Amino acid sequence: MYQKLRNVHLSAALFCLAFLLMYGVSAVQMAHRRWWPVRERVTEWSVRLPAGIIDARVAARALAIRGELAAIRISPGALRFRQVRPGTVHQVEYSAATGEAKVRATDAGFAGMLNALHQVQGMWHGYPLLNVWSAVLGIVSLGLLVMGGTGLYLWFRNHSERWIGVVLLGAGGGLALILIVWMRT
Amino acid sequence: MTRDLIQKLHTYAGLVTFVNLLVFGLVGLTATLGSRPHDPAPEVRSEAFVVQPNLTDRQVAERVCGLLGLSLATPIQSAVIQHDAANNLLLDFYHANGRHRVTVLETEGRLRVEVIRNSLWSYLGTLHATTAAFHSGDWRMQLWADYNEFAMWCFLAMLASGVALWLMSRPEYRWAQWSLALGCALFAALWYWTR
Repeated sequence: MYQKLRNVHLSAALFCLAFLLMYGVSAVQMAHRRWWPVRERVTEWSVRLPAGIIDARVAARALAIRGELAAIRISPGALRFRQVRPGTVHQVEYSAATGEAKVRATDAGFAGMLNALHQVQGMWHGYPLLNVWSAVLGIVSLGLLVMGGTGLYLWFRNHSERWIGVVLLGAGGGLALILIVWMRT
Repeated sequence: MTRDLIQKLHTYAGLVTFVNLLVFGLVGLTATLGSRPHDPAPEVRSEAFVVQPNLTDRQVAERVCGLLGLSLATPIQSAVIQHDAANNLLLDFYHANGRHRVTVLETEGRLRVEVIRNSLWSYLGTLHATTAAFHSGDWRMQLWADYNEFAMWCFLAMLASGVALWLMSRPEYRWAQWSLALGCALFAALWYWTR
């Protein structure tokens, strides 16, 4: 049993390693933005689409920019929307009269993409790749819980570390639990 | 000796921050499984409140905050202090447990309080993202923020020490090698398709 759970702990951790590194590094970036600021690169261009489009989905498909359609604003003769994917946002302003679409792409770079991936959630996205990311990150989160559970077992089976472990678990875990419950009530 | 030391550090870091790691995992899981974010309908109630003369909006906000026990919403940011269309003082307190939108009805001597309470998972989500960069007026939240910052660094230390322990003890273990290769390949593929 000990060896099996040790193997599970190791294999789960290594499978999830790249994703957990993403979470950990992006957490540091978000907690200390001055150490590692997100540097955005902006590019702009114009595209001629057919005139008279009144549906943002049609305009988005015509532009063939990958991402989730968001922030749609419709006004007489104009459409504004965004195509969003982790690390990159395309802001589009379309004129129905002329068919001109002005595209402004903001690339948040490596740090920005890590940041965005950390915040991916839900399986309800129109952009399938976001749902895939979310599903994989859900599995990684489950992996983290499995690592925690197996890690606890592995520690407990190590008699020499048992008492100091109890003190650390009691002190740290106890403090955290008390704060969580106290602030909730 | 080095391996034993790294093993101790790995184990101790995990134990002392066990609850934080549990929170990280649960928040990640519920983020995947949760439905599209939406604001639930607020609960609305009234509270008697008399505005003392010659108080500034900020002073009123502080008194309201104290009356409602919203220490988790302190320090009060400038953005909290607003006015509605009828020029009543409107206080929009955000905190880990949700939101209190308070309209000060000065002429009626009462507060109109709209309460939106976060689910437990949203609450844990807020806590998991709270680190030492956050400065709270509530000592409990500040203590949590500092401890969570410590947990974040322990998490990274555990990743590094875990890899070191594997390489020092069983680098030839096939399941481990395949797990690492598969995980990295999956990450690389998803990254490439997203970029």
